[in-house]
Amino acid sequence: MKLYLYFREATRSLLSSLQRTFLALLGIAIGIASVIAMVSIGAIVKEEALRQFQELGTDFLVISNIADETKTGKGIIQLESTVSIPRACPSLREFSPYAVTFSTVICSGKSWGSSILGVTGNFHAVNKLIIDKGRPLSEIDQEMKNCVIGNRIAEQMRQIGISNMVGSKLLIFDHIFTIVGVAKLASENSLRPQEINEGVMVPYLTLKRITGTDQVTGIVARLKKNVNVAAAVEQIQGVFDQIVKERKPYIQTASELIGQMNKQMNLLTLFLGIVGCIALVVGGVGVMNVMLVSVAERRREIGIRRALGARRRDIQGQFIVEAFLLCLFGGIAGIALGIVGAYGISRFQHWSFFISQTSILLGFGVSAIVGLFFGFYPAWQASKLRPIEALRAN
Amino acid sequence: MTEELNKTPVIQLRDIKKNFRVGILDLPVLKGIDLSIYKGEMAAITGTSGGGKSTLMNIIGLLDEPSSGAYSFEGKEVIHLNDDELSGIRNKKIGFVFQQFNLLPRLSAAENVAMPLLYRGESIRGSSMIARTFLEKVGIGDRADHNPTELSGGQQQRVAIARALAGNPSIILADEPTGALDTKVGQEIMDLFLRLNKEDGITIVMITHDPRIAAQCEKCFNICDGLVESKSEAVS
Ligand SMILES: Nc1ncnc2c1ncn2[C@@H]1O[C@H](COP(=O)(O)OP(=O)(O)O)[C@@H](O)[C@H]1O
Ligand SMILES: [Mg+2]
Repeated sequence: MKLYLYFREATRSLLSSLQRTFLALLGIAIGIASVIAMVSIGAIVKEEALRQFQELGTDFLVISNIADETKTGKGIIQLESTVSIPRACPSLREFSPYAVTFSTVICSGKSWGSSILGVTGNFHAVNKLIIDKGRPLSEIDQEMKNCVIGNRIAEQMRQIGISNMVGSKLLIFDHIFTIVGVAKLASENSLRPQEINEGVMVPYLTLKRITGTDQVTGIVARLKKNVNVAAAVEQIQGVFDQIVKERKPYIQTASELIGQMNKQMNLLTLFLGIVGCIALVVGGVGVMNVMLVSVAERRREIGIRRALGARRRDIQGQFIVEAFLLCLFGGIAGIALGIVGAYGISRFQHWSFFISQTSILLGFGVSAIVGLFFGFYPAWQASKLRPIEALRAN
Repeated sequence: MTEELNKTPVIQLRDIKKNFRVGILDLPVLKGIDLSIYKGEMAAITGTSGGGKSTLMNIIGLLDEPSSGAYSFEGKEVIHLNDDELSGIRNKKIGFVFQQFNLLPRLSAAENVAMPLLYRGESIRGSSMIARTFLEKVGIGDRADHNPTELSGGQQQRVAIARALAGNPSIILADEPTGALDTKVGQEIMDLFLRLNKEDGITIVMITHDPRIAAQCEKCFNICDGLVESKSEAVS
């Protein structure tokens, strides 16, 4: 094996026709870039989702579909009737029922439609909400007209020039509420009630007194440490099936969702990987095509080399190395391109970006294999040419 | 003649025939060539255009196989050797010089000359040094780092001759080496061949259709109608 010779000749050849080299590289680069970008994005999304859930805590649990939200007045479950639930469900450590309704919110002559959450004193703690300014609602606020605003309302107030929100007044259900706190944007795609970011949180009992509505829309809760999640869910499900006869309550736990999400992400990564591989095969066929054309164009060169004493395997080696280098350079370009792409998408989606090492190894490995695989046939063709036929070509 | 009989010829062809298939026809080009070349000889092969001179040369150079006949190279039968063995003989024992020079375009003169040595497995450094001494020998040591495209026809042919010599072969095969050059430059190349033959005792077989070139060779084979017509000793 005269590898140094094959590499020198291959490099010369690639450098001598940069246009051809560039075009051949392109397919591979795009293929590798998509593999890298896809695998990276897959890994990033997975990390991101896990991080969000871990931030929320794996003991988090949501019970929903327990109210008919189209109706007002008394719901299937009223606040009072939830008092007995913790005793019936011994696996629960914390427990916070809430109600969701809708109202116009007026501030400084501007009005917006907004979700209104009636919450109990421990709602912020159970949801692990971070309060940006001011303070969370507590048990003492019940029946008082105090509220904590979510991110969207805060944004809208900022737009009309209110920067000092704590202490400002809002008109909700024609009652004047005082803002005591501003909640920080809670990460989305989690189990937390969506309305936290969109709406205004008021004490449950205040909402009940003003509107006469008393229906628990959902319950957020936390499990005790070291309980068997599946068993706990089954037990809680049993309790709620008893209370809510009209419909089937849903119980979702963070740990369950993490498991599901992991599975989905693995599937997604696999899927994206397959798409990338198809792109690579297309790129590889492109390289093969370019190499076949190159072999046909360089028959005379092959003939000269054979006359000088190159054996078949010398010719084959040179052309395989050429295809290999082509794919490797394409791979490097693709890795760079893929990382830039993944970075761009993560920036756009506000995900925390990181370079997935597996994807880079995969990129290098795959491009090398593609090069060897798709370079083999053209190189074999080149080596198979009879010296005299090659030499007679012009 | 007596000397010849005692020595093993470098090249010995016996009843070499070559047919080319063209469509349904099987055209005979060589019809039974007998020919011997001895060490230190300078032989010309002449004949009409299309008469099969190149075909014969390609067979001698192991680039092509005869349809039938026997060929021994330095006393060794070569007809049934495998491709690697034939490549090895071309690499170590034969130096080619072509009408169209046939230099590798992307390599410098020195790199072209070093090529046979590299295929032999020698190091890039070592073969490069040898290449330069041979470029000196053919009179273009100052063009070692030029690309073929930067050289004149005569200079390119000198590089090709240096490349043929670099591997220290038993024989140099030249197919119309002056054919693409004007008379003056052609004669310079011929003078170089003559010098190499006289001074270094290098065995040379040269195809030419130029009688003035052929006249300078000690031996001349004329190919006519697929056979060696006459074997004449040129008077010098
Ligand atoms: N590969 C081939 N297939 C068919 N015919 C060929 C082939 N090579 C050479 N010939 C024919 O053989 C004859 C001799 O060619 P060649 O040896 O090149 O002649 P010369 O070198 O004496 O001019 C020509 O008629 C040519 O057309
Ligand atoms: Mg010819």
